[in-house]
Amino acid sequence: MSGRHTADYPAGRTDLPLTPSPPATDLDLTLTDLSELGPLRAAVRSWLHQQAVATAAIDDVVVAVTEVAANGLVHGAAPVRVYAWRHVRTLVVQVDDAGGRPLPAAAGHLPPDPGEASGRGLWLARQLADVVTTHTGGGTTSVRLQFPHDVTHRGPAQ
Amino acid sequence: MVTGSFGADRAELCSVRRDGDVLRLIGDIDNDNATQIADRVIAEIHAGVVSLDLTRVYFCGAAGVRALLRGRDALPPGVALHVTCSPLVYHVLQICGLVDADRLIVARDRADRRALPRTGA
Repeated sequence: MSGRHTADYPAGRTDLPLTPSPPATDLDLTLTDLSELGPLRAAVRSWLHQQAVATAAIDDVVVAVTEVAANGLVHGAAPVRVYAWRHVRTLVVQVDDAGGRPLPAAAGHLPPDPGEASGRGLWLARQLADVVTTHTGGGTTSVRLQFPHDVTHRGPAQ
Repeated sequence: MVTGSFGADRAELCSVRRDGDVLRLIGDIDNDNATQIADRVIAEIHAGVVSLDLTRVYFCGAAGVRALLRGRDALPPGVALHVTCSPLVYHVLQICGLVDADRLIVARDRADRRALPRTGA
């Protein structure tokens, strides 16, 4: 689209490694098929209930996680590992896929064109999570989502 | 702690029911069933549906949005698709910039299904 700023900046970004995840996490699931996205949502919802996350925020986290896991299966490669833990007051969900290909530099950074068929998954994840970091290396593509406590434990949005 | 692999839950993810010119969807729309849902929505639109009731859709991400847009595009030129949304669906459409999209009339569910009024004393 002419006139729209193209995201040249992230093309030259440095792909920094993610800080290590804890050795044991609250949730640790492996998906090999799109039919497992439903059971993934149930497991994530149940973890969020245990973490006393507010209802509207549960939906936000579930959408972000499902979109990133679906991207891993569709654009990356199975198996896709989804693991989640709490770091101080932040909920962290990481999705690793076995594709090992870096995400397109601009993926999810620009609002999707209403006429476009694709490109909404990572946009949703980036809008719903507070921080999204990615890393590719050693045959694995990782996307880490962070949801701060103050956001996940707010009162119902009205 | 929840760990390990799991088998697919084969129960139907989303049920679809025709009620006059309204199509009611109940359940989840994701990458696993979105194509199937889109095909059904398109077939029902060709058979006269002009409105989708998504007030009991508990999950809808990018794949569900794509299905919805395929449905809208199956309508004759100039005809808009009416969509009534659950809070999750409305939020997703809002983030995708589709609440005011061309030929899409998006409304929130009037009833708050999370806080239904109590009956009796």
